[in-house]
Amino acid sequence: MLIKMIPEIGHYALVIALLMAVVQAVLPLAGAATRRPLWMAYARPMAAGQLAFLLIAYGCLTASYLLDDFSVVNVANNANSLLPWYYKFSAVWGNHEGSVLLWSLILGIWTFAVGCFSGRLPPDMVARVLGVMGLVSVGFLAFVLITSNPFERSLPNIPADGADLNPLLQDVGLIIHPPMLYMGYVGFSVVFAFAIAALLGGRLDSAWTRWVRPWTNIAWAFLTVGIALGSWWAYYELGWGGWWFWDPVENASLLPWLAGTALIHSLAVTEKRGTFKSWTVLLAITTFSLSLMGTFLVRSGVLTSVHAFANDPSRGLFILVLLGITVGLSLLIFALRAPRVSQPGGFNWLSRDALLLVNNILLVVMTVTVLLGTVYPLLLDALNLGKISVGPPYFNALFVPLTVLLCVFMGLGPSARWKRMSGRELLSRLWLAGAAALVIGVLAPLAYTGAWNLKASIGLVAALWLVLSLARDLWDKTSRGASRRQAVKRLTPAYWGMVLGHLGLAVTIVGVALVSNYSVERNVRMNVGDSVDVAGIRFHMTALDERRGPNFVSDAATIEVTRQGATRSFEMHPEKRLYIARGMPMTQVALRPGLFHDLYVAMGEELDDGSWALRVQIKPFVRWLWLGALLMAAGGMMAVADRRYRRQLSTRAPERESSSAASSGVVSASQVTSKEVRA
Amino acid sequence: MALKAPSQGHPWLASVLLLTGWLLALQVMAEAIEVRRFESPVTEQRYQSLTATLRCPKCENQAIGDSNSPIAADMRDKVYEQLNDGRSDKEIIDFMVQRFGDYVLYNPRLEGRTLLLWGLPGALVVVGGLALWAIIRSRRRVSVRQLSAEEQARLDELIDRERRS
Amino acid sequence: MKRRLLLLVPLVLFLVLGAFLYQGLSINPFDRESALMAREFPAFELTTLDNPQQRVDEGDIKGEVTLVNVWGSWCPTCRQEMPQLLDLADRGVRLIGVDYKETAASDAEKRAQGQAFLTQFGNPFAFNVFDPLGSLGFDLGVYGAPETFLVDADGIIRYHHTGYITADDVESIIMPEVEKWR
Repeated sequence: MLIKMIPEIGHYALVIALLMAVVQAVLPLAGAATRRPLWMAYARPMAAGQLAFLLIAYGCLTASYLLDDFSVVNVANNANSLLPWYYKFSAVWGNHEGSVLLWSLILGIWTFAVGCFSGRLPPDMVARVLGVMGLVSVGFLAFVLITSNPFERSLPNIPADGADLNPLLQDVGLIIHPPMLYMGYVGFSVVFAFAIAALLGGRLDSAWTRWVRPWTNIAWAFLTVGIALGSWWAYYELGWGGWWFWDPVENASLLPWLAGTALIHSLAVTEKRGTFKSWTVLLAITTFSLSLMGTFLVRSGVLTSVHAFANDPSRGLFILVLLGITVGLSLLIFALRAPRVSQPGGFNWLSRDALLLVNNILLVVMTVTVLLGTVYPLLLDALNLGKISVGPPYFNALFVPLTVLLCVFMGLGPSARWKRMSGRELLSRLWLAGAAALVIGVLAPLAYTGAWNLKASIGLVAALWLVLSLARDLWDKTSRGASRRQAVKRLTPAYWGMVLGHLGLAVTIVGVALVSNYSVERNVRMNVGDSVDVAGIRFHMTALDERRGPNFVSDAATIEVTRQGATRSFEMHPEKRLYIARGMPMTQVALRPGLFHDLYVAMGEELDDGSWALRVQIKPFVRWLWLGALLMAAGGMMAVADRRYRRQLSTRAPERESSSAASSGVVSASQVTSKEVRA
Repeated sequence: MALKAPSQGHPWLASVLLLTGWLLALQVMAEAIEVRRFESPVTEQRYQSLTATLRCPKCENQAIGDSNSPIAADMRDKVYEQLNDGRSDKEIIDFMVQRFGDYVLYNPRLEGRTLLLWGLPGALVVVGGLALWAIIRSRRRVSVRQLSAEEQARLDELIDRERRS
Repeated sequence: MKRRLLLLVPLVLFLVLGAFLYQGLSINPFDRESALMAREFPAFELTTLDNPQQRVDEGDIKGEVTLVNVWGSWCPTCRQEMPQLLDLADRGVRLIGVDYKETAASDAEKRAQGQAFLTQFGNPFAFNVFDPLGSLGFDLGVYGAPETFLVDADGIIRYHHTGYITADDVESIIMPEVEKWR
């Protein structure tokens, strides 16, 4: 009996979670405004309760999937009794309804985490932060319950079996990609909530930035991994060997990432120098707003994308209203309550402050470019100016030069001092790195293929410049103390985080530059016994078999691969699958990954004479794309381990600081600095 | 296209609707692998780049080179045919636009309605640079007014000490 | 005060974007105007479906306001559209069919496919252009069937309809357009 009621229990738990979210939103915010400790104290227990009921709801949906309860519409549409259990588990978020539920659950987890790790924060701050997160949660839970209920039943017409999960989503990459991405998207809600809380409470000091920075970094790291996984999945699952298509859905994830990257850097300035507070707060709001906008773009159907969820205008309208309320209100609060006083703290052209500002300007321009390119067809259409498309050529034409420009300044950043430094000093530190990057970057393509390649060289010079200037900085920073080993030990995790993050970008740039310029692709016709040479590698087809999987049948080829001059060979097995439940053909790519190149074989169609069309590709340095992203994410995480964040967790922030900050709303640069030094 | 969950009534209708949704999705993973001969590597390169920058008019969001839909295949054939006829890239692109409109261009032309699209990023870089210049100038004045030389020295020392710590 | 106004800029930008997104909800991205609008019907030289010897070209379209309907026996929606086309023919509208890319191997079989379709579902067309390779369809910018073009007496394309024509469309769009260009 209870088993049959699982979907109803889940639905009921979702309703309770919504009610708790309402309480979590209303009481603490009202309590903070009217200074009622009891009301404010509702925040944490409600966050915990909400998470508990969200877990129940989510567990119930997962159970319905695992138990093959096809009376649940969502299960019937997205699973099949033949589907392996782990794909049933991940099928929960392979569809619109389930993924919004996952979104809400992850929001619950972040809220709970904030509740747990905010023990030392002033109670009104905690109340406001959790209250704002509760508001976001109310919006999303209402969205689930009103427009996208995953527990809907199709009684009494229960289908005998389910329609199966889209084969594209039956894949390891897709098991982990959405949760990671959502951890990133939703994680920015924490920074957002802190920003709104700071605006409401009039408290925007360096303590605030220190609370916010770890959360920002963690969310950003998750988003980085999520985007990389998406790109990796597209690379091997879509069968084209492409890794970034500038599709609206990809852009929707890139937008908050770019804004979040800008935010991480502007938080650094605001923490160290107490300046640009309004700007930082605006970036915090923007980053989360772009996450929400991504949700809207993916689910509303306003943009055509290969990845978009099944579209429904009524859902689109709901999300748009949600987006309008959340973003509109927060920008209004921003306009009314952003710090009025322009902070003192001058700096020179050559200073870390200025370089970080340049970074922010460029990242914002990049964000605007991606947003503009993504929505421009829509703008023209709405203005009746015709239908156009904006695709990879546009984005590449603008994004590449902006990235190169960014790299130029990025190399200078770590070596520059705050406030001011002499150009001569900077030049003396970095000229060698710059010259070496230029020489190696220009000559490397010549050594690699025997021909000049301007595009590859530009990428390599940019990446080398980042790496070499970092190396020089590391050298300089460790050459002051008694011994170098001691000096290395003294470097903070925050510094290492920065090094890893920048290094990661350099690695990704190398990957982009080389894979875009040196990929080799051959479409060949092959039958058993045929062989083809591509870039000095021999592909020999030795067999063609028919196979059976749990829910598909396939034609599989066996390709023997031998590198030129080598005696050892290995086998690759590309497949063409037909998924039975959906009658859907799928290319299962055979991949031989390597640090310096991937071999990639995809099967196309069977040709009239029984041979097959095969696409053979060699993708140099393609792994570096994702390796770089992992390094960046690791850097983001590492910076969180910095002592100064732990310090603020273990010791109560001085009362004086919070009271003076609350009254003035700002703390001047000198105050901040002296306090930090004293602490 | 409305793909509503089949709440009541006609589950078959919903499944038909869903099926059409999947048919669109189906174009995604069945990529086009064609075996073509090119007179030179340059021509092959041009073919690759043309089929990557022309958009399939029937698909959700795919270049004709990535799509398996019949119209994309026809368009690839035309590109191939015209390359062999010695037409220039521009001629081939114009040929497509004449028939399918600007929609098939992933690389939008620079014209009145796309001025903002192409111009705004560059304009923002300039505006950003000017803003930075203004900020640095105004802040220099502010800091001169607010801190005496002694304070400034102390502040520098503190910052310096902090950075070293 | 000036600074306060400056702080309102993000809100204003967002509201503008929001307005566009709202409008975007009601836009169908597949609803595209033909690139051939207000241009001459493309030149072609093919034969009719019924007679491999009878040549037709763009001149045969001209002379009177005509609906050129691109169809194929492989296209299920073309069947659903047929009653509306028969209705239009009954109302005195001249219709010309383009039998687009039949699926059989040889031309003779393709013709048979097209003819069987017309026998089964009705033939509202003055004549049918046989387009086995889809060359005319391609020049018309057709990317699916059915598609319908309204051509005026001078051979200029005046209206383009993607997807199948419903009974409502006949009343509310097609007939008014036909009257307009007559």
